[in-house]
Amino acid sequence: MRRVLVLGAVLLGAAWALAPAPSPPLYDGLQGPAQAYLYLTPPPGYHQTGAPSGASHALAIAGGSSGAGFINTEETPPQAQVLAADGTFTFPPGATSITLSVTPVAPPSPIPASLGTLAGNVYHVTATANVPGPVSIVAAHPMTVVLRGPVGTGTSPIVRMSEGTTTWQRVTTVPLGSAPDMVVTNTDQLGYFAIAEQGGSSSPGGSGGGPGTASGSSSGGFPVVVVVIAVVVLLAVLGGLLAMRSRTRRRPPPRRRR
Amino acid sequence: MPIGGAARPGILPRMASQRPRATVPPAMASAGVRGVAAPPLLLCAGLAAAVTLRLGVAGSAGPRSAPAGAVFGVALLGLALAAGWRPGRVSPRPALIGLGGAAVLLAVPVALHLRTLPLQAGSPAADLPLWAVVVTLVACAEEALLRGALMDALLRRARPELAALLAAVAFAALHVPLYGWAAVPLDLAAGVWLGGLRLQSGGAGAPALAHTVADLASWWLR
Repeated sequence: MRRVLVLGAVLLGAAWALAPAPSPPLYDGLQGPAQAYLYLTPPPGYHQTGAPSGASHALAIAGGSSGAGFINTEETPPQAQVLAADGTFTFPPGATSITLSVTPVAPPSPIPASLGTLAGNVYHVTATANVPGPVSIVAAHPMTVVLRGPVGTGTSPIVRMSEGTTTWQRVTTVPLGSAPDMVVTNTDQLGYFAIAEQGGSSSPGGSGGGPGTASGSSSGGFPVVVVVIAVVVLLAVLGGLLAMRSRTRRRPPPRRRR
Repeated sequence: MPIGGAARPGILPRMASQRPRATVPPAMASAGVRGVAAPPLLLCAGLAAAVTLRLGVAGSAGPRSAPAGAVFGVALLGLALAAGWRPGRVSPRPALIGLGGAAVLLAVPVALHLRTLPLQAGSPAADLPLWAVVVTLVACAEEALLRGALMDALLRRARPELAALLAAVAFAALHVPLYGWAAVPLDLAAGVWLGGLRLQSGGAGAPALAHTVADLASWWLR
Protein backbone atom coordinates (compact mmCIF):
# COMPACT_ATOMS: atom_id res chain seq x y z
CA MET A 1 0.00 0.00 0.00
CA ARG A 2 2.83 2.38 0.83
CA ARG A 3 4.21 1.83 -2.66
CA VAL A 4 1.20 3.70 -4.04
CA LEU A 5 1.85 6.63 -1.73
CA VAL A 6 5.51 6.72 -2.71
CA LEU A 7 4.58 6.52 -6.39
CA GLY A 8 2.04 9.32 -5.89
CA ALA A 9 4.62 11.53 -4.19
CA VAL A 10 7.16 10.92 -6.95
CA LEU A 11 4.59 11.64 -9.65
CA LEU A 12 3.51 14.82 -7.85
CA GLY A 13 7.11 16.00 -7.75
CA ALA A 14 7.55 15.28 -11.45
CA ALA A 15 4.25 16.95 -12.38
CA TRP A 16 5.11 20.08 -10.45
CA ALA A 17 8.57 20.17 -11.97
CA LEU A 18 7.02 20.16 -15.42
CA ALA A 19 4.00 22.37 -14.66
CA PRO A 20 4.17 26.10 -15.30
CA ALA A 21 4.70 28.01 -12.09
CA PRO A 22 2.58 28.89 -10.33
CA SER A 23 0.07 26.07 -10.75
CA PRO A 24 -2.89 25.26 -8.53
CA PRO A 25 -2.56 22.30 -6.14
CA LEU A 26 -4.68 20.33 -8.60
CA TYR A 27 -6.92 21.17 -11.51
CA ASP A 28 -10.20 20.36 -9.90
CA GLY A 29 -13.37 21.51 -8.28
CA LEU A 30 -14.56 24.97 -8.99
CA GLN A 31 -12.38 27.81 -10.11
CA GLY A 32 -12.65 30.91 -7.99
CA PRO A 33 -14.73 33.78 -9.24
CA ALA A 34 -13.05 36.24 -11.52
CA GLN A 35 -12.07 39.58 -10.06
CA ALA A 36 -14.10 42.49 -11.39
CA TYR A 37 -12.38 44.24 -14.27
CA LEU A 38 -10.06 47.03 -13.20
CA TYR A 39 -9.97 50.04 -15.51
CA LEU A 40 -7.17 52.51 -15.79
CA THR A 41 -9.93 55.09 -16.28
CA PRO A 42 -13.18 53.66 -14.91
CA PRO A 43 -16.37 54.44 -16.88
CA PRO A 44 -18.77 56.89 -15.27
CA GLY A 45 -20.63 55.33 -12.36
CA TYR A 46 -18.33 52.32 -12.18
CA HIS A 47 -16.78 51.69 -8.79
CA GLN A 48 -13.68 49.60 -8.45
CA THR A 49 -11.22 48.81 -5.71
CA GLY A 50 -7.64 49.32 -6.73
CA ALA A 51 -6.02 50.00 -10.07
CA PRO A 52 -4.93 47.68 -12.86
CA SER A 53 -1.42 46.39 -12.48
CA GLY A 54 1.48 45.93 -14.83
CA ALA A 55 4.20 43.31 -14.79
CA SER A 56 7.74 42.83 -15.95
CA HIS A 57 10.30 40.04 -15.97
CA ALA A 58 13.90 39.75 -17.12
CA LEU A 59 14.61 37.03 -19.66
CA ALA A 60 18.18 35.79 -19.62
CA ILE A 61 20.13 35.59 -22.86
CA ALA A 62 22.17 32.44 -23.17
CA GLY A 63 23.96 30.93 -26.13
CA GLY A 64 23.00 33.84 -28.33
CA SER A 65 19.29 33.29 -27.77
CA SER A 66 16.78 35.04 -25.57
CA GLY A 67 15.21 32.77 -22.98
CA ALA A 68 11.58 31.81 -22.61
CA GLY A 69 9.34 33.46 -20.05
CA PHE A 70 5.99 34.98 -19.32
CA ILE A 71 4.48 37.85 -17.40
CA ASN A 72 1.05 38.18 -15.82
CA THR A 73 -0.64 41.19 -14.34
CA GLU A 74 -1.81 40.64 -10.76
CA GLU A 75 -5.57 40.49 -11.21
CA THR A 76 -7.45 37.19 -10.87
CA PRO A 77 -7.40 36.05 -13.62
CA PRO A 78 -4.74 38.37 -15.03
CA GLN A 79 -6.01 41.10 -17.32
CA ALA A 80 -2.89 40.83 -19.48
CA GLN A 81 -0.41 38.03 -20.03
CA VAL A 82 2.58 37.93 -22.38
CA LEU A 83 4.44 34.74 -23.22
CA ALA A 84 7.69 34.46 -25.13
CA ALA A 85 9.40 31.29 -26.28
CA ASP A 86 13.13 30.66 -26.65
CA GLY A 87 14.64 32.83 -29.34
CA THR A 88 11.71 35.21 -29.60
CA PHE A 89 13.81 38.38 -29.57
CA THR A 90 16.65 39.90 -31.51
CA PHE A 91 18.85 42.08 -29.33
CA PRO A 92 21.90 44.33 -29.50
CA PRO A 93 25.40 42.84 -29.16
CA GLY A 94 26.58 42.49 -25.58
CA ALA A 95 23.11 42.16 -24.10
CA THR A 96 22.74 39.56 -21.36
CA SER A 97 19.06 40.03 -20.54
CA ILE A 98 15.85 41.43 -21.95
CA THR A 99 13.18 42.91 -19.73
CA LEU A 100 9.70 42.07 -20.94
CA SER A 101 7.02 44.42 -19.59
CA VAL A 102 3.31 45.00 -19.88
CA THR A 103 1.75 48.20 -18.57
CA PRO A 104 -1.80 49.58 -18.69
CA VAL A 105 -1.65 52.97 -20.40
CA ALA A 106 -3.95 55.60 -21.79
CA PRO A 107 -4.68 55.02 -25.49
CA PRO A 108 -1.90 56.69 -27.50
CA SER A 109 -4.57 57.53 -30.07
CA PRO A 110 -8.28 56.78 -30.39
CA ILE A 111 -9.33 53.51 -31.96
CA PRO A 112 -11.08 54.14 -35.31
CA ALA A 113 -14.80 53.43 -35.27
CA SER A 114 -14.33 50.93 -38.07
CA LEU A 115 -12.41 48.69 -35.64
CA GLY A 116 -15.00 48.95 -32.87
CA THR A 117 -14.84 50.55 -29.47
CA LEU A 118 -12.26 50.08 -26.79
CA ALA A 119 -13.29 47.44 -24.22
CA GLY A 120 -11.09 47.63 -21.17
CA ASN A 121 -7.58 48.97 -20.98
CA VAL A 122 -4.84 49.48 -23.52
CA TYR A 123 -1.69 47.53 -22.58
CA HIS A 124 1.76 48.60 -23.71
CA VAL A 125 4.05 45.61 -24.28
CA THR A 126 7.74 46.43 -24.39
CA ALA A 127 11.02 44.54 -24.46
CA THR A 128 14.26 46.31 -23.62
CA ALA A 129 17.78 44.98 -23.47
CA ASN A 130 20.18 45.76 -20.64
CA VAL A 131 22.44 47.56 -23.13
CA PRO A 132 21.36 50.30 -25.53
CA GLY A 133 19.98 49.15 -28.83
CA PRO A 134 16.83 47.92 -30.50
CA VAL A 135 14.95 44.81 -29.47
CA SER A 136 12.47 43.23 -31.86
CA ILE A 137 10.57 40.00 -32.32
CA VAL A 138 11.77 37.31 -34.70
CA ALA A 139 8.87 36.82 -37.12
CA ALA A 140 9.27 33.04 -37.01
CA HIS A 141 8.95 33.03 -33.19
CA PRO A 142 5.99 35.26 -32.42
CA MET A 143 5.11 36.30 -28.91
CA THR A 144 1.70 35.52 -27.39
CA VAL A 145 -0.49 38.19 -25.82
CA VAL A 146 -3.55 37.23 -23.76
CA LEU A 147 -6.02 39.91 -22.71
CA ARG A 148 -9.02 39.69 -20.41
CA GLY A 149 -11.77 42.19 -21.02
CA PRO A 150 -14.93 43.19 -19.20
CA VAL A 151 -17.79 40.68 -19.17
CA GLY A 152 -19.05 39.88 -22.65
CA THR A 153 -15.89 40.50 -24.60
CA GLY A 154 -14.98 36.86 -25.02
CA THR A 155 -15.19 36.85 -28.81
CA SER A 156 -14.06 40.41 -29.53
CA PRO A 157 -10.85 40.87 -31.50
CA ILE A 158 -7.60 42.33 -30.29
CA VAL A 159 -6.33 45.47 -31.96
CA ARG A 160 -2.69 46.49 -32.02
CA MET A 161 -0.73 49.66 -32.58
CA SER A 162 2.77 48.54 -33.39
CA GLU A 163 5.69 50.35 -31.81
CA GLY A 164 6.73 53.33 -33.91
CA THR A 165 3.44 53.56 -35.80
CA THR A 166 0.30 55.60 -35.24
CA THR A 167 -2.41 53.36 -36.60
CA TRP A 168 -4.46 50.66 -34.96
CA GLN A 169 -5.01 47.40 -36.79
CA ARG A 170 -7.04 44.31 -36.03
CA VAL A 171 -4.98 41.15 -35.48
CA THR A 172 -5.94 37.49 -35.67
CA THR A 173 -7.60 36.66 -32.36
CA VAL A 174 -9.02 33.51 -30.83
CA PRO A 175 -10.96 33.03 -27.57
CA LEU A 176 -8.95 31.37 -24.82
CA GLY A 177 -10.75 28.05 -24.53
CA SER A 178 -13.21 27.86 -21.67
CA ALA A 179 -11.91 30.99 -19.92
CA PRO A 180 -14.61 33.61 -20.34
CA ASP A 181 -13.73 37.06 -21.64
CA MET A 182 -10.15 36.15 -22.47
CA VAL A 183 -8.76 36.37 -25.99
CA VAL A 184 -5.34 35.60 -27.35
CA THR A 185 -3.19 36.60 -30.31
CA ASN A 186 0.28 35.83 -31.57
CA THR A 187 2.27 38.87 -32.56
CA ASP A 188 5.56 39.63 -34.26
CA GLN A 189 5.36 43.28 -33.19
CA LEU A 190 5.75 45.01 -29.85
CA GLY A 191 3.42 47.90 -29.11
CA TYR A 192 -0.03 48.63 -27.76
CA PHE A 193 -2.73 45.98 -27.43
CA ALA A 194 -6.41 46.27 -26.55
CA ILE A 195 -9.74 44.52 -27.06
CA ALA A 196 -12.00 46.28 -29.55
CA GLU A 197 -15.61 45.47 -28.98
CA GLN A 198 -17.93 45.05 -31.91
CA GLY A 199 -21.45 46.31 -31.27
CA GLY A 200 -21.15 47.05 -27.55
CA SER A 201 -22.20 43.78 -25.93
CA SER A 202 -19.98 43.98 -22.87
CA SER A 203 -20.90 45.32 -19.47
CA PRO A 204 -18.47 47.34 -17.42
CA GLY A 205 -16.83 45.28 -14.73
CA GLY A 206 -18.82 42.44 -13.29
CA SER A 207 -17.11 39.36 -12.08
CA GLY A 208 -16.67 37.21 -15.17
CA GLY A 209 -18.93 34.55 -13.75
CA GLY A 210 -18.63 34.27 -10.01
CA PRO A 211 -20.51 31.67 -8.03
CA GLY A 212 -23.60 33.77 -7.81
CA THR A 213 -23.59 34.98 -11.36
CA ALA A 214 -22.37 32.06 -13.37
CA SER A 215 -24.49 30.89 -16.21
CA GLY A 216 -26.92 28.17 -15.33
CA SER A 217 -28.10 27.53 -18.83
CA SER A 218 -26.67 25.60 -21.67
CA SER A 219 -25.17 28.64 -23.26
CA GLY A 220 -21.79 28.58 -24.90
CA GLY A 221 -22.87 26.36 -27.72
CA PHE A 222 -23.20 23.09 -25.80
CA PRO A 223 -25.92 21.06 -27.53
CA VAL A 224 -29.02 20.61 -25.41
CA VAL A 225 -29.57 17.15 -26.87
CA VAL A 226 -26.23 16.03 -25.43
CA VAL A 227 -27.31 17.24 -21.99
CA VAL A 228 -30.57 15.33 -22.32
CA ILE A 229 -28.68 12.18 -23.32
CA ALA A 230 -26.35 12.67 -20.34
CA VAL A 231 -29.33 12.91 -17.99
CA VAL A 232 -30.87 9.77 -19.49
CA VAL A 233 -27.60 7.85 -19.18
CA LEU A 234 -27.11 9.07 -15.62
CA LEU A 235 -30.60 7.98 -14.63
CA ALA A 236 -30.12 4.64 -16.36
CA VAL A 237 -26.86 4.03 -14.50
CA LEU A 238 -28.45 5.03 -11.20
CA GLY A 239 -31.36 2.71 -11.90
CA GLY A 240 -29.04 -0.10 -12.88
CA LEU A 241 -26.97 0.26 -9.73
CA LEU A 242 -30.03 0.35 -7.51
CA ALA A 243 -31.51 -2.68 -9.28
CA MET A 244 -28.28 -4.60 -8.77
CA ARG A 245 -28.26 -3.80 -5.10
CA SER A 246 -31.91 -4.72 -4.77
CA ARG A 247 -31.29 -8.11 -6.43
CA THR A 248 -28.32 -8.73 -4.17
CA ARG A 249 -30.42 -7.97 -1.11
CA ARG A 250 -33.23 -10.32 -2.17
CA ARG A 251 -30.88 -13.22 -2.88
CA PRO A 252 -31.35 -15.78 -0.07
CA PRO A 253 -28.30 -16.59 2.01
CA PRO A 254 -26.59 -19.85 1.04
CA ARG A 255 -27.85 -22.89 2.99
CA ARG A 256 -25.41 -24.53 5.28
CA ARG A 257 -24.90 -28.26 4.81
CA ARG A 258 -25.09 -30.31 7.91
CA MET B 1 -14.93 15.43 8.35
CA PRO B 2 -17.87 14.92 6.06
CA ILE B 3 -16.87 11.61 4.56
CA GLY B 4 -15.49 8.72 6.42
CA GLY B 5 -15.15 5.23 5.07
CA ALA B 6 -14.52 1.77 6.34
CA ALA B 7 -12.15 3.00 8.97
CA ARG B 8 -11.83 -0.33 10.71
CA PRO B 9 -9.81 -2.61 8.50
CA GLY B 10 -10.98 -6.16 8.33
CA ILE B 11 -14.52 -5.47 9.40
CA LEU B 12 -16.74 -5.97 6.40
CA PRO B 13 -20.37 -4.93 6.42
CA ARG B 14 -23.18 -7.36 6.05
CA MET B 15 -23.41 -7.44 2.26
CA ALA B 16 -19.78 -8.26 1.77
CA SER B 17 -19.81 -10.83 4.51
CA GLN B 18 -22.61 -12.74 2.73
CA ARG B 19 -20.09 -13.79 0.14
CA PRO B 20 -17.94 -16.87 0.63
CA ARG B 21 -14.78 -15.89 2.45
CA ALA B 22 -12.52 -17.20 -0.27
CA THR B 23 -13.69 -14.48 -2.67
CA VAL B 24 -12.46 -11.68 -0.40
CA PRO B 25 -8.71 -11.37 -0.77
CA PRO B 26 -6.79 -10.08 2.23
CA ALA B 27 -5.60 -6.98 0.40
CA MET B 28 -9.17 -6.00 -0.24
CA ALA B 29 -10.18 -6.50 3.33
CA SER B 30 -7.32 -4.41 4.59
CA ALA B 31 -8.29 -1.66 2.20
CA GLY B 32 -11.70 -1.53 3.77
CA VAL B 33 -13.74 -2.79 0.85
CA ARG B 34 -17.40 -2.74 1.58
CA GLY B 35 -20.79 -2.69 -0.03
CA VAL B 36 -21.95 -4.00 -3.39
CA ALA B 37 -19.43 -4.76 -6.12
CA ALA B 38 -20.79 -2.37 -8.72
CA PRO B 39 -19.34 -2.91 -12.19
CA PRO B 40 -16.53 -0.37 -12.65
CA LEU B 41 -17.54 0.30 -16.24
CA LEU B 42 -21.06 1.17 -15.15
CA LEU B 43 -19.66 3.63 -12.63
CA CYS B 44 -17.40 5.13 -15.30
CA ALA B 45 -20.38 5.51 -17.63
CA GLY B 46 -22.20 7.36 -14.88
CA LEU B 47 -19.14 9.51 -14.28
CA ALA B 48 -18.95 10.41 -17.97
CA ALA B 49 -22.63 11.32 -17.98
CA ALA B 50 -22.15 13.51 -14.90
CA VAL B 51 -19.21 15.32 -16.52
CA THR B 52 -21.27 15.91 -19.67
CA LEU B 53 -24.13 17.22 -17.58
CA ARG B 54 -21.76 19.60 -15.79
CA LEU B 55 -20.43 20.92 -19.09
CA GLY B 56 -23.93 21.47 -20.37
CA VAL B 57 -25.11 23.30 -17.26
CA ALA B 58 -21.93 25.38 -17.08
CA GLY B 59 -22.12 26.66 -20.64
CA SER B 60 -19.65 29.44 -21.26
CA ALA B 61 -18.92 29.82 -17.53
CA GLY B 62 -16.88 26.62 -17.68
CA PRO B 63 -15.21 25.55 -14.45
CA ARG B 64 -16.39 28.72 -12.69
CA SER B 65 -20.07 27.75 -12.74
CA ALA B 66 -21.27 27.04 -9.21
CA PRO B 67 -24.65 25.62 -10.31
CA ALA B 68 -22.87 23.21 -12.64
CA GLY B 69 -20.47 22.21 -9.87
CA ALA B 70 -23.36 21.58 -7.50
CA VAL B 71 -25.23 19.47 -10.07
CA PHE B 72 -22.06 17.51 -10.73
CA GLY B 73 -21.44 16.92 -7.04
CA VAL B 74 -24.99 15.74 -6.41
CA ALA B 75 -24.82 13.40 -9.42
CA LEU B 76 -21.57 11.85 -8.21
CA LEU B 77 -22.86 11.42 -4.69
CA GLY B 78 -25.99 9.79 -6.09
CA LEU B 79 -23.89 7.36 -8.10
CA ALA B 80 -21.71 6.51 -5.12
CA LEU B 81 -24.68 5.91 -2.85
CA ALA B 82 -26.52 3.89 -5.49
CA ALA B 83 -23.40 1.74 -5.82
CA GLY B 84 -23.58 0.95 -2.14
CA TRP B 85 -20.89 3.28 -0.81
CA ARG B 86 -21.69 4.70 2.61
CA PRO B 87 -19.79 7.21 4.72
CA GLY B 88 -18.10 5.60 7.67
CA ARG B 89 -17.62 6.82 11.20
CA VAL B 90 -15.38 9.77 11.86
CA SER B 91 -12.16 8.73 13.55
CA PRO B 92 -8.83 10.43 14.23
CA ARG B 93 -6.55 8.21 12.14
CA PRO B 94 -8.09 8.90 8.70
CA ALA B 95 -8.34 12.57 9.64
CA LEU B 96 -4.62 12.72 10.42
CA ILE B 97 -3.77 10.84 7.24
CA GLY B 98 -5.98 13.23 5.28
CA LEU B 99 -4.34 16.30 6.79
CA GLY B 100 -0.92 14.87 6.04
CA GLY B 101 -2.02 14.17 2.49
CA ALA B 102 -3.23 17.73 2.14
CA ALA B 103 0.10 19.04 3.41
CA VAL B 104 1.92 17.11 0.69
CA LEU B 105 -0.50 18.30 -1.99
CA LEU B 106 0.03 21.90 -0.90
CA ALA B 107 3.72 22.00 -0.05
CA VAL B 108 5.16 22.58 -3.50
CA PRO B 109 2.42 24.93 -4.79
CA VAL B 110 2.81 27.10 -1.69
CA ALA B 111 6.58 27.22 -2.13
CA LEU B 112 6.29 28.05 -5.82
CA HIS B 113 3.73 30.76 -5.24
CA LEU B 114 5.73 32.38 -2.49
CA ARG B 115 8.73 32.44 -4.81
CA THR B 116 7.00 33.73 -7.93
CA LEU B 117 3.81 35.54 -7.04
CA PRO B 118 2.10 36.82 -3.92
CA LEU B 119 -0.82 34.76 -2.68
CA GLN B 120 -3.87 35.90 -4.57
CA ALA B 121 -6.60 37.60 -2.61
CA GLY B 122 -8.21 39.52 -5.41
CA SER B 123 -11.49 37.65 -5.73
CA PRO B 124 -14.52 39.20 -4.08
CA ALA B 125 -14.59 37.97 -0.47
CA ALA B 126 -18.38 37.82 -0.54
CA ASP B 127 -18.17 34.96 -3.05
CA LEU B 128 -15.99 32.82 -0.80
CA PRO B 129 -18.68 31.08 1.34
CA LEU B 130 -20.79 29.78 -1.56
CA TRP B 131 -17.67 28.88 -3.50
CA ALA B 132 -16.30 26.97 -0.52
CA VAL B 133 -19.52 25.01 -0.06
CA VAL B 134 -19.63 23.94 -3.71
CA VAL B 135 -15.92 23.11 -3.76
CA THR B 136 -16.33 20.95 -0.66
CA LEU B 137 -19.33 19.20 -2.17
CA VAL B 138 -17.52 18.49 -5.45
CA ALA B 139 -14.33 17.28 -3.77
CA CYS B 140 -16.16 14.99 -1.35
CA ALA B 141 -18.45 13.67 -4.09
CA GLU B 142 -15.49 12.88 -6.35
CA GLU B 143 -13.81 11.00 -3.54
CA ALA B 144 -17.00 9.15 -2.60
CA LEU B 145 -17.31 7.92 -6.16
CA LEU B 146 -13.67 7.41 -7.18
CA ARG B 147 -11.85 6.44 -4.00
CA GLY B 148 -15.07 5.06 -2.49
CA ALA B 149 -17.41 3.21 -4.83
CA LEU B 150 -15.08 2.80 -7.82
CA MET B 151 -12.09 1.64 -5.80
CA ASP B 152 -14.35 -0.71 -3.84
CA ALA B 153 -15.40 -2.24 -7.12
CA LEU B 154 -11.87 -2.35 -8.52
CA LEU B 155 -10.38 -3.84 -5.37
CA ARG B 156 -12.66 -6.84 -5.82
CA ARG B 157 -11.14 -7.45 -9.22
CA ALA B 158 -7.57 -6.18 -9.09
CA ARG B 159 -4.56 -5.58 -6.91
CA PRO B 160 -4.71 -2.46 -4.73
CA GLU B 161 -1.96 -0.72 -6.73
CA LEU B 162 -3.85 -1.23 -9.99
CA ALA B 163 -7.12 -0.16 -8.41
CA ALA B 164 -5.56 3.08 -7.20
CA LEU B 165 -4.01 3.70 -10.61
CA LEU B 166 -7.25 3.10 -12.51
CA ALA B 167 -9.16 5.40 -10.18
CA ALA B 168 -6.45 8.03 -10.74
CA VAL B 169 -6.84 7.68 -14.51
CA ALA B 170 -10.59 8.22 -14.14
CA PHE B 171 -9.87 11.24 -11.91
CA ALA B 172 -7.52 12.79 -14.48
CA ALA B 173 -9.84 12.02 -17.39
CA LEU B 174 -12.88 13.62 -15.82
CA HIS B 175 -11.06 16.97 -15.65
CA VAL B 176 -9.89 17.06 -19.27
CA PRO B 177 -13.10 18.58 -20.67
CA LEU B 178 -12.90 21.45 -18.18
CA TYR B 179 -9.17 22.09 -17.89
CA GLY B 180 -7.68 20.56 -21.04
CA TRP B 181 -4.95 17.97 -21.49
CA ALA B 182 -2.45 20.14 -19.67
CA ALA B 183 -4.18 19.18 -16.43
CA VAL B 184 -3.58 15.45 -16.90
CA PRO B 185 -0.06 15.06 -15.43
CA LEU B 186 -0.85 16.93 -12.22
CA ASP B 187 -4.28 15.39 -11.77
CA LEU B 188 -3.00 11.90 -12.52
CA ALA B 189 -0.27 12.31 -9.92
CA ALA B 190 -2.71 13.76 -7.40
CA GLY B 191 -5.08 10.88 -8.15
CA VAL B 192 -2.41 8.30 -7.39
CA TRP B 193 -1.58 10.13 -4.17
CA LEU B 194 -5.23 10.23 -3.13
CA GLY B 195 -5.56 6.54 -3.99
CA GLY B 196 -2.57 5.85 -1.76
CA LEU B 197 -4.28 7.73 1.05
CA ARG B 198 -7.37 5.60 0.54
CA LEU B 199 -5.36 2.39 0.74
CA GLN B 200 -3.41 3.60 3.73
CA SER B 201 -6.44 4.75 5.69
CA GLY B 202 -8.94 2.12 4.58
CA GLY B 203 -11.64 4.54 3.47
CA ALA B 204 -12.53 7.54 1.37
CA GLY B 205 -12.44 9.94 4.32
CA ALA B 206 -8.71 10.65 4.25
CA PRO B 207 -8.52 11.39 0.51
CA ALA B 208 -11.72 13.44 0.77
CA LEU B 209 -10.18 15.59 3.49
CA ALA B 210 -6.91 16.04 1.60
CA HIS B 211 -8.73 16.78 -1.64
CA THR B 212 -11.08 19.31 -0.03
CA VAL B 213 -8.29 21.18 1.74
CA ALA B 214 -6.23 21.32 -1.46
CA ASP B 215 -9.19 22.61 -3.46
CA LEU B 216 -10.08 25.23 -0.86
CA ALA B 217 -6.47 26.42 -0.87
CA SER B 218 -6.79 27.17 -4.57
CA TRP B 219 -8.71 30.33 -3.61
CA TRP B 220 -5.31 31.78 -2.71
CA LEU B 221 -3.03 29.54 -4.77
CA ARG B 222 -3.71 30.33 -8.41
